[in-house]
Amino acid sequence: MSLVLPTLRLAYRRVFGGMATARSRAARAAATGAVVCLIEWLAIAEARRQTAATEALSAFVPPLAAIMVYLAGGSIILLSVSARDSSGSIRGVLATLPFSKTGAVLLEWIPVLTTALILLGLAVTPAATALISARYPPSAAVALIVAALAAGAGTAGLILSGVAVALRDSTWNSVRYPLSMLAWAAVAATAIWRSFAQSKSAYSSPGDLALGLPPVVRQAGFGGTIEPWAAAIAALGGLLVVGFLVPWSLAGQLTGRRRRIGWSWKGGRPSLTLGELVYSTRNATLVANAVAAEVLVVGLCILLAAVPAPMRQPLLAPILIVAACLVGSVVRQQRSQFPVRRPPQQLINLDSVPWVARQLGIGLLWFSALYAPVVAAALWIGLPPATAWGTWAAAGASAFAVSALSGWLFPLPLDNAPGQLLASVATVAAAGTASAFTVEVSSTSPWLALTLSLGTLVLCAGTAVAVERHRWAAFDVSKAGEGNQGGQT
Amino acid sequence: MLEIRNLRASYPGFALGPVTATVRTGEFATLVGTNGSGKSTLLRSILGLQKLDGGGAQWDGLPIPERSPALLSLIGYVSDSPKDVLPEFTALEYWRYCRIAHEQARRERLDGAMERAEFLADRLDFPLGQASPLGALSLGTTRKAQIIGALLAEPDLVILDEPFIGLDFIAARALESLLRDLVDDGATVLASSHDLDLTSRIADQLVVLHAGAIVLDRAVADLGGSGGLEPAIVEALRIHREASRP
Repeated sequence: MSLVLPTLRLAYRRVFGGMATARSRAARAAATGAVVCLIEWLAIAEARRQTAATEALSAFVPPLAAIMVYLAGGSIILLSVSARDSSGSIRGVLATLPFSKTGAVLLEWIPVLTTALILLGLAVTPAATALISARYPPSAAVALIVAALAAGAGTAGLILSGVAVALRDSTWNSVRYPLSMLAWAAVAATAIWRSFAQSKSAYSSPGDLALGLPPVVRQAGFGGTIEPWAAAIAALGGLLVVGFLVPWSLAGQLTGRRRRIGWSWKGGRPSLTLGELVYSTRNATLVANAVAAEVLVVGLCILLAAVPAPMRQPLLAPILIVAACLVGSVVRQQRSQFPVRRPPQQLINLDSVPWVARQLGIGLLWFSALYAPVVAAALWIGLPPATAWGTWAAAGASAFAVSALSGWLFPLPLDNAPGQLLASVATVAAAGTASAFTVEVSSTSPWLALTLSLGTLVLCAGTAVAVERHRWAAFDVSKAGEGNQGGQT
Repeated sequence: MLEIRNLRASYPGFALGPVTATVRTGEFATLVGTNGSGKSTLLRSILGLQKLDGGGAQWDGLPIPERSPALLSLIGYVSDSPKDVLPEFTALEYWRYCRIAHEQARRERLDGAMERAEFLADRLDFPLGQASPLGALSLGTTRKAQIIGALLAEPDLVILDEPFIGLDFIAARALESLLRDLVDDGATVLASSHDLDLTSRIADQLVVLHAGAIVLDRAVADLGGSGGLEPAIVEALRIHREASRP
């Protein structure tokens, strides 16, 4: 356990710049902290504003806060697993040292779990603000948040462990994560439905208890409070699942690459774009995240179709924004497929500008394909085409631009688990804010929204080109940061 | 002709150069040096892959560090890391990608490039039947794919950073013979290596680097074959160490 601190220090260095000096690392950490504080402040202000605006509905704040915290807990744990070292390089180093298999996996997981815990803390603060603004007792608010968080994280952890144990063979490497996401989406939807269905009953059924969320909502929601001992038991259970069961279940999992390629890129017109598109479909992390995002997008489409007709139009914009942010996280990882410094394309003498253009084009193709079902669902259920297309385009353009920009500015390697986790959450927050703003503008001034969207896309492309040109220009190793490889010789 | 003139590069704790050296067209030069002497830094600096503090390198009078695609398409480069490939591609896909990149840079079709890749694969005993991605192959096999990718467009100048690392002895002999054939066909090769026996067999010129400076630059024939290389290098290093003492 004396290696815990050095492991955390290593993770800090990787997140904020591998070979950068201590001072520049500290500056990057401080800048990240400032941005996080700003986002957190905006979220708290919005929670206060919403709670004050809906004073009459303050009775619904506790159950809604419990559901939001439950979803945040589950999604951050799932994100942690998606961000986990996919190359096996850290495990490879630990395997050369005298650690048990479980001990090595725990050391590999410590930075990821620490980052996840920090993010969970940040995620619950707006919910706590909403509860206190709704005059919910502070001690009861803490108990409610702890219980909901433990239920969310514990449920996601149990699903991950179950899938990992059932599909241990490396053949299932790219299937485990989307399947876990699908199972979690189904369980979370059931848990939310059961929470409202059984809220008035005196006792929770065994099935509801197993789902985690319904008993929390029943006890705390609609005027009641949750007992501290119940919250403590839930927290202990959640910690055991996330801290021990998940790392244990993943301990023997092989992270190796697929050994065979199903079909080859050999025929057709000789085109680098086509080759790079094929290449992006081979990256297991990218594909797993794309499938997982699409699972959630389809879930949102079903939700849009399932709600009563009068609620569909008001729900369209939030659903499109969430879908765009989910799909954007795939675009963010596009640049992370390649080393930050001296990618192979540079070593075989390609030019940076056309390469960036091709990569952005491929990212846009991924984004459009994954994001299309929402507009199709909106049109199918009879929403006005102008509203559906306009909102879809406004939310999509901003989310794509912000996600791609984040990916190009901070191309953290896919095996930098804490960095990927942090970047995912920050990008989703930024893309969500930008999309919400553009959609709001589009409702009053479509031309301004169009200009804004095009401007953001142009800014994104221009910045990506400029950043990559700078990277491909003769590289000053003394200023090198994250993703450096190779030594001095 | 490859001309390196007053080339300087530095980063905290290390300074390369000024390095001045010439490799004549159609010759094989081997770059030798202790660990950390700056061999990879020098090769990357020649190619403009690293920021230069001064000087530069020219191929037939054209400055390489400016990285014009047309000039770079005449140069084949293999870095010191076998990870510098596109690991999700199979070898054939990777070579196809390299071929298209060279075609775009040269603005002409390279119809025979894939046949040449298969010919090189045969010489290096590369397992062409495998449909595995490069990232799933062994270090040596990936190295072979990387070398073939650099040579399939028949470059005039070949820069190799420790190309024999990871190769089995049969593949190493095959690569040695292949490189010698390239030189006999008129190509110029600059390769770093730690193998003095190999250097004595294959190289026309020996360049020894120590602590960022060239301490020996001679024709291999002048050093008396394999038996003469090691004493000459050790003596050059000793003189340089003594001269560097305050």
